Amino acid sequence: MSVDTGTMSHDLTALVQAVPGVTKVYSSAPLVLSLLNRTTDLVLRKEPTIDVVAVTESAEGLRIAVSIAVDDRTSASEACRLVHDAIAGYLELENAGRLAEIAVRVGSVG
Amino acid sequence: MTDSGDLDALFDGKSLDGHSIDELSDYLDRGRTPADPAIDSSPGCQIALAGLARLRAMSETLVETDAAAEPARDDSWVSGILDNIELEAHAGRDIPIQHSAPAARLVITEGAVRGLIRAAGDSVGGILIGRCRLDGDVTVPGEAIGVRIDASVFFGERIPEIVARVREAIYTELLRHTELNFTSIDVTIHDVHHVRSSPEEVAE
Repeated sequence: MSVDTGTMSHDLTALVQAVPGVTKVYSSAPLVLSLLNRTTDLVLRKEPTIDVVAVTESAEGLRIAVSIAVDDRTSASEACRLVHDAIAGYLELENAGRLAEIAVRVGSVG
Repeated sequence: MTDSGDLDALFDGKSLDGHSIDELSDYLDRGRTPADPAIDSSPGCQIALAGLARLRAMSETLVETDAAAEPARDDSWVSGILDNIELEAHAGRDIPIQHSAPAARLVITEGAVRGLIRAAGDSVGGILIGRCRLDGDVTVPGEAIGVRIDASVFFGERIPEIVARVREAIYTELLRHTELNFTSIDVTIHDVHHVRSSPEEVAE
Protein backbone atom coordinates (compact mmCIF):
# COMPACT_ATOMS: atom_id res chain seq x y z
CA MET A 1 0.00 0.00 0.00
CA SER A 2 1.46 3.35 -1.03
CA VAL A 3 0.81 6.51 0.97
CA ASP A 4 1.26 10.20 0.24
CA THR A 5 4.23 10.73 2.53
CA GLY A 6 4.28 14.50 1.92
CA THR A 7 0.71 15.01 3.05
CA MET A 8 1.21 12.64 5.94
CA SER A 9 4.34 14.48 7.08
CA HIS A 10 2.48 17.79 6.91
CA ASP A 11 -0.46 16.44 8.93
CA LEU A 12 1.76 14.75 11.51
CA THR A 13 3.90 17.87 11.96
CA ALA A 14 0.78 19.87 12.87
CA LEU A 15 -0.46 17.04 15.08
CA VAL A 16 2.80 16.72 17.04
CA GLN A 17 3.12 20.48 17.49
CA ALA A 18 -0.28 20.43 19.20
CA VAL A 19 0.62 17.75 21.78
CA PRO A 20 0.69 19.24 25.31
CA GLY A 21 4.25 19.85 26.52
CA VAL A 22 5.81 19.90 23.05
CA THR A 23 7.45 23.28 22.47
CA LYS A 24 9.26 22.56 19.22
CA VAL A 25 9.45 19.91 16.54
CA TYR A 26 12.97 19.61 15.24
CA SER A 27 13.64 18.78 11.63
CA SER A 28 14.30 15.12 11.05
CA ALA A 29 15.09 15.78 7.39
CA PRO A 30 18.65 16.48 6.29
CA LEU A 31 19.57 20.03 7.29
CA VAL A 32 20.50 21.08 3.74
CA LEU A 33 17.06 20.07 2.49
CA SER A 34 15.36 21.98 5.30
CA LEU A 35 17.35 25.12 4.55
CA LEU A 36 16.61 24.79 0.84
CA ASN A 37 12.88 24.56 1.55
CA ARG A 38 13.13 27.53 3.89
CA THR A 39 14.98 29.58 1.26
CA THR A 40 12.37 28.70 -1.35
CA ASP A 41 9.63 29.84 1.03
CA LEU A 42 11.42 33.15 1.57
CA VAL A 43 11.95 33.74 -2.16
CA LEU A 44 8.30 32.96 -2.86
CA ARG A 45 7.28 35.07 0.17
CA LYS A 46 5.42 32.14 1.61
CA GLU A 47 4.94 31.19 5.22
CA PRO A 48 7.49 28.54 6.23
CA THR A 49 6.24 25.14 5.14
CA ILE A 50 8.88 22.82 6.48
CA ASP A 51 7.33 19.53 7.48
CA VAL A 52 9.60 18.13 10.12
CA VAL A 53 8.16 14.69 10.80
CA ALA A 54 9.97 12.15 8.65
CA VAL A 55 7.71 9.64 6.92
CA THR A 56 9.37 6.88 4.91
CA GLU A 57 8.20 3.64 3.39
CA SER A 58 10.32 0.52 3.78
CA ALA A 59 9.95 -3.15 3.04
CA GLU A 60 8.82 -3.71 6.64
CA GLY A 61 6.21 -0.96 6.45
CA LEU A 62 5.84 2.70 7.28
CA ARG A 63 8.46 4.42 9.43
CA ILE A 64 7.77 7.65 11.24
CA ALA A 65 10.51 9.65 12.98
CA VAL A 66 10.25 12.88 14.93
CA SER A 67 12.51 14.79 17.30
CA ILE A 68 10.91 17.14 19.83
CA ALA A 69 11.63 19.71 22.53
CA VAL A 70 9.57 19.47 25.71
CA ASP A 71 8.88 22.18 28.27
CA ASP A 72 10.32 21.61 31.73
CA ARG A 73 6.92 21.52 33.46
CA THR A 74 5.81 18.46 31.53
CA SER A 75 7.30 15.01 32.01
CA ALA A 76 9.47 14.39 28.96
CA SER A 77 8.67 10.67 29.10
CA GLU A 78 4.95 11.34 29.21
CA ALA A 79 5.10 13.89 26.38
CA CYS A 80 7.07 11.38 24.32
CA ARG A 81 4.38 8.73 24.82
CA LEU A 82 1.63 11.22 24.01
CA VAL A 83 3.36 12.09 20.73
CA HIS A 84 3.64 8.40 19.87
CA ASP A 85 -0.03 7.80 20.68
CA ALA A 86 -1.12 10.82 18.64
CA ILE A 87 0.83 9.55 15.62
CA ALA A 88 -0.45 5.99 16.08
CA GLY A 89 -4.03 7.29 16.32
CA TYR A 90 -3.62 9.28 13.12
CA LEU A 91 -2.19 6.30 11.23
CA GLU A 92 -5.04 4.09 12.39
CA LEU A 93 -7.59 6.67 11.35
CA GLU A 94 -5.96 7.05 7.95
CA ASN A 95 -5.74 3.30 7.53
CA ALA A 96 -2.10 3.81 6.64
CA GLY A 97 -1.26 0.13 6.37
CA ARG A 98 1.61 -1.85 7.85
CA LEU A 99 3.63 0.01 10.46
CA ALA A 100 7.33 -0.72 10.99
CA GLU A 101 8.21 1.90 13.56
CA ILE A 102 7.24 5.12 15.27
CA ALA A 103 10.43 6.74 16.58
CA VAL A 104 10.08 9.70 18.92
CA ARG A 105 13.19 11.36 20.30
CA VAL A 106 13.23 14.03 23.01
CA GLY A 107 16.13 16.25 21.94
CA SER A 108 15.89 18.94 24.60
CA VAL A 109 13.94 19.81 27.74
CA GLY A 110 13.11 23.32 28.93
CA MET B 1 11.59 -3.71 17.73
CA THR B 2 12.84 -3.30 14.19
CA ASP B 3 16.21 -2.49 12.79
CA SER B 4 16.28 1.28 12.90
CA GLY B 5 19.71 2.03 11.56
CA ASP B 6 18.27 3.95 8.63
CA LEU B 7 16.18 6.05 10.99
CA ASP B 8 19.26 6.97 12.95
CA ALA B 9 20.58 8.58 9.80
CA LEU B 10 17.58 10.89 9.80
CA PHE B 11 18.62 12.33 13.13
CA ASP B 12 21.75 14.43 13.24
CA GLY B 13 24.13 12.57 15.50
CA LYS B 14 26.57 15.50 15.55
CA SER B 15 23.97 17.41 17.58
CA LEU B 16 25.67 20.82 17.48
CA ASP B 17 25.39 20.74 13.70
CA GLY B 18 28.89 22.02 13.18
CA HIS B 19 28.48 25.12 15.34
CA SER B 20 31.11 25.97 17.93
CA ILE B 21 30.43 27.40 21.37
CA ASP B 22 31.99 30.68 20.17
CA GLU B 23 29.48 30.92 17.33
CA LEU B 24 26.64 30.26 19.73
CA SER B 25 28.02 32.88 22.10
CA ASP B 26 28.05 35.43 19.26
CA TYR B 27 24.49 34.45 18.36
CA LEU B 28 23.47 35.11 21.97
CA ASP B 29 25.26 38.48 21.84
CA ARG B 30 23.17 39.44 18.80
CA GLY B 31 19.96 38.59 20.62
CA ARG B 32 19.52 35.56 18.36
CA THR B 33 18.86 37.88 15.41
CA PRO B 34 18.76 37.47 12.56
CA ALA B 35 17.34 34.04 13.27
CA ASP B 36 19.63 31.24 12.19
CA PRO B 37 17.52 28.21 11.18
CA ALA B 38 20.51 25.89 11.49
CA ILE B 39 20.99 26.86 15.13
CA ASP B 40 17.31 27.15 15.98
CA SER B 41 16.57 23.70 14.59
CA SER B 42 19.39 21.98 16.44
CA PRO B 43 18.57 20.43 19.85
CA GLY B 44 22.25 20.49 20.79
CA CYS B 45 22.55 24.19 19.98
CA GLN B 46 19.42 24.95 22.01
CA ILE B 47 20.78 23.08 25.05
CA ALA B 48 24.13 24.85 24.74
CA LEU B 49 22.49 28.27 24.32
CA ALA B 50 20.40 27.74 27.47
CA GLY B 51 23.51 26.78 29.43
CA LEU B 52 25.44 29.75 28.04
CA ALA B 53 22.68 32.20 28.98
CA ARG B 54 22.55 30.92 32.56
CA LEU B 55 26.33 30.95 32.90
CA ARG B 56 26.46 34.57 31.72
CA ALA B 57 23.79 35.65 34.15
CA MET B 58 25.50 33.92 37.08
CA SER B 59 29.09 34.80 36.29
CA GLU B 60 28.57 38.48 35.54
CA THR B 61 28.96 39.54 39.15
CA LEU B 62 31.91 37.23 39.69
CA VAL B 63 33.82 38.50 36.67
CA GLU B 64 33.20 42.14 37.60
CA THR B 65 34.39 41.51 41.12
CA ASP B 66 37.47 39.65 39.99
CA ALA B 67 38.30 42.40 37.52
CA ALA B 68 38.24 44.98 40.29
CA ALA B 69 40.12 42.95 42.84
CA GLU B 70 42.60 40.92 40.85
CA PRO B 71 44.42 42.47 37.89
CA ALA B 72 45.72 39.11 36.70
CA ARG B 73 42.50 37.17 37.09
CA ASP B 74 42.28 33.64 35.85
CA ASP B 75 39.41 32.99 33.41
CA SER B 76 40.22 29.34 32.91
CA TRP B 77 37.26 28.23 35.02
CA VAL B 78 34.89 30.04 32.64
CA SER B 79 36.45 28.48 29.56
CA GLY B 80 36.35 25.11 31.30
CA ILE B 81 32.59 25.42 31.87
CA LEU B 82 32.09 26.59 28.28
CA ASP B 83 33.97 23.54 27.02
CA ASN B 84 31.78 21.30 29.15
CA ILE B 85 28.55 22.97 28.01
CA GLU B 86 29.57 22.29 24.42
CA LEU B 87 30.60 18.71 25.15
CA GLU B 88 27.50 17.86 27.17
CA ALA B 89 25.07 19.35 24.64
CA HIS B 90 25.93 16.63 22.13
CA ALA B 91 23.11 14.13 21.79
CA GLY B 92 25.15 11.21 23.09
CA ARG B 93 23.42 7.94 23.87
CA ASP B 94 19.73 7.25 23.37
CA ILE B 95 17.99 6.61 26.68
CA PRO B 96 14.89 4.42 26.24
CA ILE B 97 11.39 5.42 27.30
CA GLN B 98 9.03 2.50 27.77
CA HIS B 99 5.89 1.95 25.71
CA SER B 100 3.77 -1.16 25.30
CA ALA B 101 3.39 -0.80 21.51
CA PRO B 102 5.82 -3.15 19.70
CA ALA B 103 6.60 -0.59 16.96
CA ALA B 104 7.38 2.19 19.43
CA ARG B 105 10.95 3.41 19.70
CA LEU B 106 10.89 6.23 22.23
CA VAL B 107 14.04 7.84 23.57
CA ILE B 108 15.38 10.90 25.30
CA THR B 109 18.93 11.85 24.40
CA GLU B 110 21.72 11.82 26.93
CA GLY B 111 22.40 15.43 25.92
CA ALA B 112 18.86 16.43 26.89
CA VAL B 113 19.26 14.72 30.28
CA ARG B 114 22.63 16.38 30.91
CA GLY B 115 21.03 19.68 29.93
CA LEU B 116 18.25 19.32 32.47
CA ILE B 117 20.72 18.25 35.17
CA ARG B 118 22.77 21.40 34.52
CA ALA B 119 19.63 23.55 34.51
CA ALA B 120 18.41 22.04 37.78
CA GLY B 121 21.79 22.61 39.42
CA ASP B 122 22.05 26.19 38.19
CA SER B 123 18.50 26.91 39.40
CA VAL B 124 19.57 26.49 43.02
CA GLY B 125 21.73 29.64 42.93
CA GLY B 126 25.07 30.20 44.62
CA ILE B 127 26.66 27.33 42.74
CA LEU B 128 28.06 26.91 39.24
CA ILE B 129 27.84 23.49 37.62
CA GLY B 130 31.16 22.79 35.95
CA ARG B 131 30.67 19.32 34.56
CA CYS B 132 28.09 16.56 34.76
CA ARG B 133 28.39 12.94 33.77
CA LEU B 134 26.11 9.93 33.71
CA ASP B 135 27.84 6.74 34.82
CA GLY B 136 26.44 3.35 33.79
CA ASP B 137 24.74 1.98 30.71
CA VAL B 138 21.82 4.37 30.23
CA THR B 139 20.65 2.42 27.18
CA VAL B 140 19.57 -0.54 29.34
CA PRO B 141 16.28 -0.04 31.24
CA GLY B 142 16.63 -0.53 35.00
CA GLU B 143 20.42 -0.33 35.00
CA ALA B 144 21.91 1.46 38.03
CA ILE B 145 22.96 4.96 36.96
CA GLY B 146 25.13 7.41 38.85
CA VAL B 147 25.33 11.16 38.33
CA ARG B 148 28.63 12.89 38.92
CA ILE B 149 28.72 16.67 39.22
CA ASP B 150 31.78 18.90 39.46
CA ALA B 151 30.88 22.38 40.69
CA SER B 152 32.11 25.55 42.34
CA VAL B 153 30.30 27.63 44.94
CA PHE B 154 30.03 31.32 45.71
CA PHE B 155 31.92 32.50 48.77
CA GLY B 156 29.74 32.45 51.87
CA GLU B 157 27.58 29.51 50.86
CA ARG B 158 27.42 26.61 53.29
CA ILE B 159 28.73 23.80 51.13
CA PRO B 160 26.90 20.85 52.74
CA GLU B 161 23.58 22.71 52.54
CA ILE B 162 23.94 23.90 48.97
CA VAL B 163 25.08 20.47 47.84
CA ALA B 164 22.01 18.93 49.46
CA ARG B 165 19.77 21.43 47.66
CA VAL B 166 21.47 20.72 44.33
CA ARG B 167 21.10 16.98 44.76
CA GLU B 168 17.42 17.36 45.60
CA ALA B 169 16.77 19.67 42.62
CA ILE B 170 18.54 17.32 40.22
CA TYR B 171 16.84 14.22 41.58
CA THR B 172 13.41 15.85 41.31
CA GLU B 173 13.98 16.77 37.66
CA LEU B 174 15.41 13.38 36.74
CA LEU B 175 12.43 11.61 38.31
CA ARG B 176 10.02 13.89 36.47
CA HIS B 177 11.54 13.52 33.02
CA THR B 178 13.28 10.15 32.80
CA GLU B 179 12.77 6.51 33.68
CA LEU B 180 16.37 5.89 34.64
CA ASN B 181 17.24 4.10 37.88
CA PHE B 182 19.42 6.66 39.63
CA THR B 183 21.35 5.20 42.54
CA SER B 184 23.65 8.10 43.35
CA ILE B 185 24.21 11.80 42.74
CA ASP B 186 27.74 12.75 43.72
CA VAL B 187 28.64 16.43 43.86
CA THR B 188 32.26 17.51 44.16
CA ILE B 189 33.04 21.15 44.93
CA HIS B 190 36.29 22.17 43.30
CA ASP B 191 36.44 25.92 43.85
CA VAL B 192 35.02 28.91 45.70
CA HIS B 193 34.31 32.18 43.89
CA HIS B 194 34.27 35.55 45.59
CA VAL B 195 31.15 37.58 44.97
CA ARG B 196 30.40 41.24 45.32
CA SER B 197 28.27 41.80 48.40
CA SER B 198 27.60 45.46 47.67
CA PRO B 199 28.48 48.06 45.01
CA GLU B 200 30.65 49.93 47.53
CA GLU B 201 32.84 46.90 47.99
CA VAL B 202 33.85 46.95 44.35
CA ALA B 203 34.36 50.72 44.32
CA GLU B 204 36.88 50.54 47.15
